[in-house]
Amino acid sequence: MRFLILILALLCVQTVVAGDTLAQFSERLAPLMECQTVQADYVQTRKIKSLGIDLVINGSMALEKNGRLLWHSKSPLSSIIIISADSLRLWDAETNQVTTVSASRFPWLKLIYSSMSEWLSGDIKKLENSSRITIKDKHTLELVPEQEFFLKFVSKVEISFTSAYDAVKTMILFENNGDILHFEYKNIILNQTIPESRWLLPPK
Amino acid sequence: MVIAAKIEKASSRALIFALRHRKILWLFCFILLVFALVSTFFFGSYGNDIKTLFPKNSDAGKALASMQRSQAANTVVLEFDTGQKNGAVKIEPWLDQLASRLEKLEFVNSLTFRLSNFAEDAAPEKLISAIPLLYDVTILDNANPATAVSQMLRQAAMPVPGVVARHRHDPFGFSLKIFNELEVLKDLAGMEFSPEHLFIANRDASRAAIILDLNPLTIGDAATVRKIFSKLKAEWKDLPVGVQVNIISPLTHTLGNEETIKSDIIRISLFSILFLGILFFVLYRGDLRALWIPLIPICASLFVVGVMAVSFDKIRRTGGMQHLTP
Repeated sequence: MRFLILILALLCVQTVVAGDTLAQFSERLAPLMECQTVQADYVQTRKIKSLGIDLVINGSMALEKNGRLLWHSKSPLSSIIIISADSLRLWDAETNQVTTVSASRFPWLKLIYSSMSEWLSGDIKKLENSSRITIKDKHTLELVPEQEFFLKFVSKVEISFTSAYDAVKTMILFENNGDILHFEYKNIILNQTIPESRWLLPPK
Repeated sequence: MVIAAKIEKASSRALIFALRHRKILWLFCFILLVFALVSTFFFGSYGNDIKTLFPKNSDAGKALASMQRSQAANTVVLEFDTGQKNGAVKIEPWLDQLASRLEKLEFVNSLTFRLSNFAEDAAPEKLISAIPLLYDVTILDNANPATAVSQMLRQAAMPVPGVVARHRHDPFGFSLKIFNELEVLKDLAGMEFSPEHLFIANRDASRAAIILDLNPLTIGDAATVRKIFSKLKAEWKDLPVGVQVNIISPLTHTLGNEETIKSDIIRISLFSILFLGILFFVLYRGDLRALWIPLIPICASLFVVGVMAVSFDKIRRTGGMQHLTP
């Protein structure tokens, strides 16, 4: 009897989720779409299947809507990556050297930038242009990239939003080779001006 | 002393003979002048290689010779400026036709316009295959397990997929070195091509470029350059309205140099005529004998060129200097 109740309960939950359309999900993401800036700490876990190891990297990030993305790894190594529509700039603490990669020379960079921005923006209309989207649960979307470049590496992306739908809580990239890239965002600050000094490389 | 006396005696006799037979002397001079003229115009082979302007061992001469050896003159970039965003995309079919016409010209060795699938070819892991072409073996000095681990962590820190695949191709992070140098190259060249189009265009696709590699040319050979440019220009007679063509090549300097030298010669000649005229009327008071002053060096030059035209394969005249190739 208990087993039957559990099955019925599960069916009910599934019906709720199945009944949730992308339009409804998009409406719930309105708070996130209104965000102009996001700053957060992150824990980036890269599960490397071939080596059987998990690489955990802690850091902080900042994102301007339709602007720049800052990715500051703090441990176990210190580096800052600033990705914009035009370029990727990488600063490495060990060498104190700044490397610039122009997006005009390497179009994959533009794809990475637009994808990262779109994934973190929660703009479902934009996401639909580049991915096939399904609703996994009340707070999670599952995206299958349709761009050839990403299909080479990524089989699907899972994005979970906070309960208030005002920020991305976790993002998981499932790579074709079995690797998994997991991002967990904490201490999220929304709509606060990002100090210009954060975009300077080498950092002051 | 005896020889000097003999020379003086012979020259005196020749002078007396000349004075006594002035008509014969004039006729001889006239015939000589005619021969010189015929020789100058029919036997002379003239060139204007700027290299011959410089002394053989001069630094400038060596620099020019080095430039000639480098075959820098062989590259011509044709820039098609439409003046409007995505204008190059609109004239793409015309550019294709032009490229196929230009490729058939006898002096064109190869032509670059269409690009391969750039997005695929420009992937970072593809760069690693260029390492042996760009760097010597010393690049391996830091290729050790510690570097590989450090690079793996650096790459893993990036919020992008495909790290393991990239690390397998470039475990020591050599591609970063290429990235830096490519940026320097971009800054030095002052040009940036957009790979978003499968032909060479700038970022907003307002301009497109066709790169021609010509058969070996000599820097400074203005006559050849003029012929080449004339043939090239004939190929874009049907240029779409509003499109401007810019020729970017060291060869344009060859023509520029020649024009500068020519204009200098014209300016100096005009001033010489003006001042000789002033001298003729003011100082020599219209005495026609004063005309011998410019006439003698002109006739002498003509004789010399005529004789040289018979003796030498090529005479190069640039400005007031003559250079001979026996």
